[in-house]
Amino acid sequence: MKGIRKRVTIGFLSIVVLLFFSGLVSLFELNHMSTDIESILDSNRHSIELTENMLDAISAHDRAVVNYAVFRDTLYSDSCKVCFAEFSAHIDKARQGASKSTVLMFDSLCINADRLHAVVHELRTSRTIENLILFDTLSNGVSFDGKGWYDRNYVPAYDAASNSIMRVMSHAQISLSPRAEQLSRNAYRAVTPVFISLVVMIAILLMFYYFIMIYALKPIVEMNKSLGDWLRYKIPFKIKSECRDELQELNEKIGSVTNTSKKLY
Amino acid sequence: MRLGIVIRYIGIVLLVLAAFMLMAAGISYVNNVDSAYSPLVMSSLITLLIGCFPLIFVPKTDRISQKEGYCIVVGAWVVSSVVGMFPYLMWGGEFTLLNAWFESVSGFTTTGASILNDIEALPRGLQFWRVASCWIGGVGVVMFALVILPSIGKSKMMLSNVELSSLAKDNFHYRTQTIVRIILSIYVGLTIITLLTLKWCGMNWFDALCHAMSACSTCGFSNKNLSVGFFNSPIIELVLIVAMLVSGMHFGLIYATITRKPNNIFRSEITRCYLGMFIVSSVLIAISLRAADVYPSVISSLRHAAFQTASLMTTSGFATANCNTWTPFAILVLMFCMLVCGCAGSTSGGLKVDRLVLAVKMLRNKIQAQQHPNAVVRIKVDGYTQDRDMLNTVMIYIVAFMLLILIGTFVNTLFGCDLMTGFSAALACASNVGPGFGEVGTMDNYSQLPAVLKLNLSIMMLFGRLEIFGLIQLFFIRWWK
Repeated sequence: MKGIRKRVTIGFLSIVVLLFFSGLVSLFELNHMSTDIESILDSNRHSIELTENMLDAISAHDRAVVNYAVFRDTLYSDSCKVCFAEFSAHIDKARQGASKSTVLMFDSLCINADRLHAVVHELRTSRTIENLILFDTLSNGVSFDGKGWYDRNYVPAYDAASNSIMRVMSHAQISLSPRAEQLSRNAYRAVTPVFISLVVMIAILLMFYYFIMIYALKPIVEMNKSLGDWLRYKIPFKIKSECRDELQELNEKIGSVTNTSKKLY
Repeated sequence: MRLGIVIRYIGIVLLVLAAFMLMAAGISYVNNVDSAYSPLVMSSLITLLIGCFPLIFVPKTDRISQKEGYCIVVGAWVVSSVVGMFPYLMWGGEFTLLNAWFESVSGFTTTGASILNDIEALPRGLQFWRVASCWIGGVGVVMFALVILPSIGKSKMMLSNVELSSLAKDNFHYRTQTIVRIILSIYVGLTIITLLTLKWCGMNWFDALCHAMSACSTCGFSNKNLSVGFFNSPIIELVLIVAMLVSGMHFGLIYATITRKPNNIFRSEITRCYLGMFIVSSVLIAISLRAADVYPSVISSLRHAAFQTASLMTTSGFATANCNTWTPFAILVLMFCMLVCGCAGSTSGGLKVDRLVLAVKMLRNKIQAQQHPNAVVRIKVDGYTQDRDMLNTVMIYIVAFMLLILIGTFVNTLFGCDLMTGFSAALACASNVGPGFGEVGTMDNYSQLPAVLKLNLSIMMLFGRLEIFGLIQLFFIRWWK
């Protein structure tokens, strides 16, 4: 392939290559963006699920403590222990996948959970409730106000622990925002190459049109005109051409034909 | 005028840009394929395609007219600025369409004015592209193509004649091809020496490369938010002062000094004036700063004064201190340095010391002519008599440059800038310095300016870089025919 055909083919191929690459980059960026969205949604879902589990466990623990301390139901003594163990297990699970910045929040949650555990554990190990049921009053003659104990000792510890859970959750949600920002940047990056490629393609098409007009069509028109002039008025066929392609060859051949026929006549 | 030829040569320049973009993509790849990798690769491919396209269609030619030469040079600067914003646009972040255009023009014209609030947030590939654009612009986008592509042949002379001002061609007594090679050899050599010295002074390779390229092109782009102030190292500042000052000298004279020719730096009247201006300005500013108790000691006053004077005088625009807190006298001296700038034939912009020297000599000549009406007094620089045409051109350029700054200030103040910000921004952009005073001070940037002012200032940068007349020709339609 040479000359005009080569140029036209390369011209079209350039446009195809441009389209292909801009499409490829957009596809890559969109794919990247889709993975990022999935990852953000997963993190979000995971964080909500873990928080829900922790809140459920602490709530179950709260119910067990109310039954044990306020309603003096000794059957709930072990239930308090089991519920707290479940709560601790959920905290440990959530902590494993936590980011560096969230670990500090988990430390605070652990301290508050330990405080909560200590309050209930003290009541359970002193066996106050069991003694009250057996002997109606405590050995030192002091009566035990379960509701008062619950309000004074348990509720502040419970509030601190549940607030810590909320803080962990909100921090996990906030930490997703830089990733979302990155995502919006990726969206911009996915669109811009296509936009730029379109603008460049318009420029290339305009250049293509101009070059075809100047370096392919104009010589043909001139040759046609000059050949017509030679046939009609015997004006010498002479076209100045800068290109070294088939048109130049055609120009030279027409030139030699007109010269030969001039010599013949 | 043959438009095809103009497009062909601009295409050659774009091939050089594509190569640098690919280099930046390489840095991005080495740096764990950072987020600038795909924008740089894509931009490089697009640039390569636009550059190759005219080469396929337009046949090679040996002769180009002066008009075509003008169009090639001006077109190459404008198209390079447009293509140079592709990586920024594709990367996103703080780069809107106008911000990317501003940053790209600022890079190629070696102005060094930035719209970025957080430069360190840029990935390394893009940071390299930022300094690469100013390094290419430092020596002139067309000059690069002239050296790299030997096939240009006889067209070289016409293009170099247009790219280099007539003042810059003084001190060169060689063939065009040799001049172009000398310029590029000095430029590359200076960059390598600065790079190695900065590395030796404690910078890491990447920072040293960015600062070496930026200092030698007298652009002033730094990859740190605090510019050179980030390093807080007197030795680094000293190296950069020397690099900036040398880059502000005539490259032909540097070559003559290296090859021990008689017309060297030490004998040049212009260079002596340039260095003298630097020393006097630095000392005056230091005295003013110490007297006003801006810095606690004479040494620190002199250190900051010398660095800022070298930085603004050579049109680099690096910063180690906030000049807005300096005395009005110090600011005025710095503004004078920003107006005059370096020597012709260097990478710096502005009026140039050569023109100042000639203007002062013409003034002296005028006074002598009034005293002795019949006397024939010639104006000489370094022993060479300057012809009347040259002197007229110098005066016309000075007037045109002042008008440019005046118009720029009018536009800036019209759109809400205070006088200090408006004037200093116009001066800083027309002289290709970068930072000004007020809201666009050495420790600030141009991000807060309205869009129309960013556009106005970016056009002023192009006017300043193309020494006004090159760009102005394109606005006359009759000239095109």
